Amino acid sequence: MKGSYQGKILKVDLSEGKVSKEDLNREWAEKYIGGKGLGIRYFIDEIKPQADPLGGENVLVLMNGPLAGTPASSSSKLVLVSKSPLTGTILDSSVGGYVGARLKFAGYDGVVIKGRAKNLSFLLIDGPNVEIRECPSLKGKGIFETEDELVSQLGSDEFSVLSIGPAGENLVPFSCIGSEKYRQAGRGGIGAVMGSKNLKAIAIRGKGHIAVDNAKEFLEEMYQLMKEDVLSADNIWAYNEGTPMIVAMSNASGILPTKNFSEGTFSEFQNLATDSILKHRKSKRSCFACALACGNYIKVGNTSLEGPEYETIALCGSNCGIGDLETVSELNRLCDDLGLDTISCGNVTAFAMELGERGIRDFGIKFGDGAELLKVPCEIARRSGARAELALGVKKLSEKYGGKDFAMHVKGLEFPGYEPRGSWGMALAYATSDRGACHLRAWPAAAEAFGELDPFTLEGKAGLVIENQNSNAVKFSMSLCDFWAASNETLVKLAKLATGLEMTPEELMTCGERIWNLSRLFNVREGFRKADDALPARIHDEGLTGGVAEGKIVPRADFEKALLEYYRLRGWDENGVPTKEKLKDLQIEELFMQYV
Amino acid sequence: MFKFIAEKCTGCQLCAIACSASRSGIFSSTLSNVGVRSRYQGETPKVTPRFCTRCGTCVASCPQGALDDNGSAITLDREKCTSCGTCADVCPENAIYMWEEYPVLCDLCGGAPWCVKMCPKEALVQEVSA
Repeated sequence: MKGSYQGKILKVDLSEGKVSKEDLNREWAEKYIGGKGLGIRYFIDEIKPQADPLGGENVLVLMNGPLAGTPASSSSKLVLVSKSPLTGTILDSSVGGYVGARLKFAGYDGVVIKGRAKNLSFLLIDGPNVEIRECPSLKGKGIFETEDELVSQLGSDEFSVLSIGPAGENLVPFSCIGSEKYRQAGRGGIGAVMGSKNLKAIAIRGKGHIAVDNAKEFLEEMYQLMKEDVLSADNIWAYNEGTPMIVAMSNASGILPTKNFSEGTFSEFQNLATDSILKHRKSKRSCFACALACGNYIKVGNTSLEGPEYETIALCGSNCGIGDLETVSELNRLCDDLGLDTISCGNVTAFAMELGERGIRDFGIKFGDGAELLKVPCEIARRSGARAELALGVKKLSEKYGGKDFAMHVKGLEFPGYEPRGSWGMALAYATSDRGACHLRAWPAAAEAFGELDPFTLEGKAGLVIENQNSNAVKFSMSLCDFWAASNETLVKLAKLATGLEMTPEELMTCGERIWNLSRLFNVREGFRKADDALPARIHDEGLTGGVAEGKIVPRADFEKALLEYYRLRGWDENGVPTKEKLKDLQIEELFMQYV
Repeated sequence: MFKFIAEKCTGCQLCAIACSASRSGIFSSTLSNVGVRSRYQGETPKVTPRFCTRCGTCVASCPQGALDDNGSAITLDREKCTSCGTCADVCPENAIYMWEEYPVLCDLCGGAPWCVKMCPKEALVQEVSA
């Protein structure tokens, strides 16, 4: 198998100041494809059990999928893997833009980064030339300025930069890594991992090529797929509207998080919905090789940015009681520059608002107070001012001050923008996601709140969640964006074009299952069990207010039953630990048997 | 000749990948006759295309006289070419690259350019000369 892999992995030891190149492990690439799967495989090979996520012993892996750099649409999601400082779980987070393709054209499938630099540094990957360079002048600078300065210093705008802002430098556990200003590897504090390594940025230029023996055939196939599939009605929403389309859908289905997930609809949702965005839209922006171009570059009042996306609108908007597009946009821009995950930032702020409302702890901020809200990102990122403690994240803040019942997180990762009481499958999706509450692992809301399935039952949802998780594990391993709703048959076709491997859809989904089990094994090794696959009490005990899911809860008994069903279908024991038989079936390496 | 409509371009670079695949059987965003640079300059996103405008710089600079403008594209006489790379160096559009010893020049894919076909937003179109 050669396929569209480059066959090289870059290894960087920041403590030793050493860089080396090694051949890609082809056996692993066949089993784990690339991106998420292969990244996790490389990560587990390097990381010690119970490693401190912010100690020098944590490892950061950047991994491309085989589709990166090819004409396959929506295929430029570079995956970053590490141990999350926010949750202690496995963390894989992907970033779009051009950086993945540039890494590929530089000649590498992935980069494994270990250790900690003595002084603030950046990693320069310029084709075959790789260096660790100190960059004291970038200390404390935002992502936007860091990118501009590095590009100007390096003298070419053919560089893509991955960098952290002050939030990452100050080890905020929900800090992100930014690229091309408005693209992020957002969740789980991957920015703090870079910060803990004294690694401010990674600048990548690739002037090379991918040598394949089927370039023309690949191109012809992709041309047909682009016309018949990518640009079809199933996906073109991404271009026409982008993710703000979901605002009105969520509100209509009663799952738009509002006021710290106490309500499912927001009276001012229209201000944040598609029509409002389109009124201010100036242009569309895409990632590398993406025919969809979901990015909306807008100008609203004194703010211009690419965004805001649905998740930001839901968590920094309605969830904080903010119905003003300019405020949400400015907050978005601040977070992108400071290097904060907008989902977690919106959540922790809304949680602080509710703590204040209930008289538990007053952080001087109320639902709907936009002016005060705009001060929060900087206070968190710089860990100074009245709201510096919000940098703890929702879980730790609730452990310190109380409010655990309405601390909206799973394993420490704050909820994304889909209220589970109005789409019960989301409860199971959040609980079983490998990195904590996440909508990118399984998104049953599409089939229930926005589709034909009954949203108020967990019957049959375990199977749906598993299918979603396996399929998305494949997509993120091939480096595909989930906005292209490619069928399993199409994924097989793409996998064959990229790797040369002939697989049936079932075999490809078994790859996804293998990858999902590998990430579970890491979490099991770190001590996570069934008790951690749990939701905050609000979801089970407090009826939702407003909208079509008025009064709904996710009953504990139903949830418990669905969780056990999920484990059974997964071939895991009643405590959520994969069985030896399952690992053997999946041909997961012998060395992992000791974890179970 | 190509016409580039900046307002329609999203910066995806499918034009470049299509070009490198069809001309040289590789995937590259730089080893191609066309492409686009897309980046925020300050607050504003900018897209800058590159493609052969038949400006004639390469033809005038070729020490061997191996290049000629046939009225729709620049052509190379491989018999005369010494692979010196001058044409690729002087091209103001970065539209010529060296591959397997010879310069690759845009030949409009014989009339149906792949870059135009693969552009999902019709930002790159072919202008039929009178």
